[in-house]
Amino acid sequence: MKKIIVLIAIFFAAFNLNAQTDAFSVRVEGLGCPFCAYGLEKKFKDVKGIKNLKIEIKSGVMTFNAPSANNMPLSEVDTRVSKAGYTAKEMSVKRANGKVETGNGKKEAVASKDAKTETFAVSGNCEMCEARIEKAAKSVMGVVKADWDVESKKMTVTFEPSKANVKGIQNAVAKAGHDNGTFKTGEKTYNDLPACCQYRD
Amino acid sequence: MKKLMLIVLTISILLSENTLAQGPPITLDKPIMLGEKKGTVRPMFKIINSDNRSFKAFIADADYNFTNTLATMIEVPFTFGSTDEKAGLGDVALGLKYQFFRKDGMGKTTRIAAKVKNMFATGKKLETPIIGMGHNMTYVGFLAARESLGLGIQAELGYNLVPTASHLGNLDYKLGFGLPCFEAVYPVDQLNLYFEFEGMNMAKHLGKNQYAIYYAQGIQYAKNIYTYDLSLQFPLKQQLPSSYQRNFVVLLGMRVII
Repeated sequence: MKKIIVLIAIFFAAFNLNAQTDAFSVRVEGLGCPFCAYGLEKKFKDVKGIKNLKIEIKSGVMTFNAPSANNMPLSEVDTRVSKAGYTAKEMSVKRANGKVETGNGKKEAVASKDAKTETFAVSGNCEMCEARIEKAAKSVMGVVKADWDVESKKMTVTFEPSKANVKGIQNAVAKAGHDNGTFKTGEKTYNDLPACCQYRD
Repeated sequence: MKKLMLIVLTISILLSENTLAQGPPITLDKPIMLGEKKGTVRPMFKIINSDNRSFKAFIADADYNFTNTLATMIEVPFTFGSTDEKAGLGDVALGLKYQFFRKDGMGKTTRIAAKVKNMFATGKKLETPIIGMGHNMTYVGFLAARESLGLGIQAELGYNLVPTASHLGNLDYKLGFGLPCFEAVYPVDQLNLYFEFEGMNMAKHLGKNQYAIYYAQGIQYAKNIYTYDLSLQFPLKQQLPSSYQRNFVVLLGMRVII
């Protein structure tokens, strides 16, 4: 009986360990041929515990799971993609505890005491969208913080009013492929979005 | 000229199709490196035929990337033919490639690299590249590639310096198009067609209408980390010293990513 209990305990422990993974997603630029993608794959398979590595050639999206115990930062993903000879864009990770981190390898700016915070709706579906929307907003000079929530589809931006305004940020987000209250994305840009990011019915 | 027109027409028709992605070129070198501390091994078999000679060669070719922009390469040919004179080690080559330009986009990339390769006179003295020049030869050139999910274009421009026999020096230029037969998938399972041109001008005869233009029709099957290559190269125009002339070159090889 004891043995059975121990075996069940080991089974559940193993199952639990297996569940403790961080889900990464990164859009890789420069994948002009599928054969070349093996260099990228090998660079990540070197990391112990990496599982479910998939590369979608057309969109350049690479997804994989890494043990949460590794706590692999997005900066390491950026470095590994770079060492494979490609460029990482729109990175995101959903940690085992549910926390989502996004980034593009750059350090966040610090807001001044005059900084304003505004919230507006932005269309999108997934964490890939989140990375793209936030990146587009942060690309506007004067934006110090951008946070888009997948569930509520709301974007909260903090910016320096002397350098940026809401319309400018909304315009940048629309140009990246995401409709918002003021601007609508052009057909071509929208159609170029990965299938998982296409939000229009 | 008819041949050239037919080839250009074939390429134009294929380019007008909705094609997606390709693999590494067959007779050209590539500026795209497959990541730091990675490399490829490429064993191949070549038949080089000309009016008065014919060679068979097994070439062991490998490259290794020290970084994502710096690679080294080695090429060891063994020749075997009907006479002892032709059999044995060919000219061993060692080289370096440095990628100094990279512009990536979604599903596309543009790369340019500089390449230096030294071919040591380890083969017989036949004044024939790969088989045995009888002289050390140094290649200095540039490789460029524009690869996208719609089309792959590769180009190479370089000069072969032969310090001890300057008349054998030559300008070498290549242009290749890679076209897939099926839609891109990963892991790779792809059949690609290659249309590759090579031009050569002998230094001694520069400006004297002494040159050659070759065309290579290649086919490649790529499956996972392996590619299997078959190419037939033949001259479209050839006015060169006899040791450089070739009626056709058959290349049968494979490569594997390590």
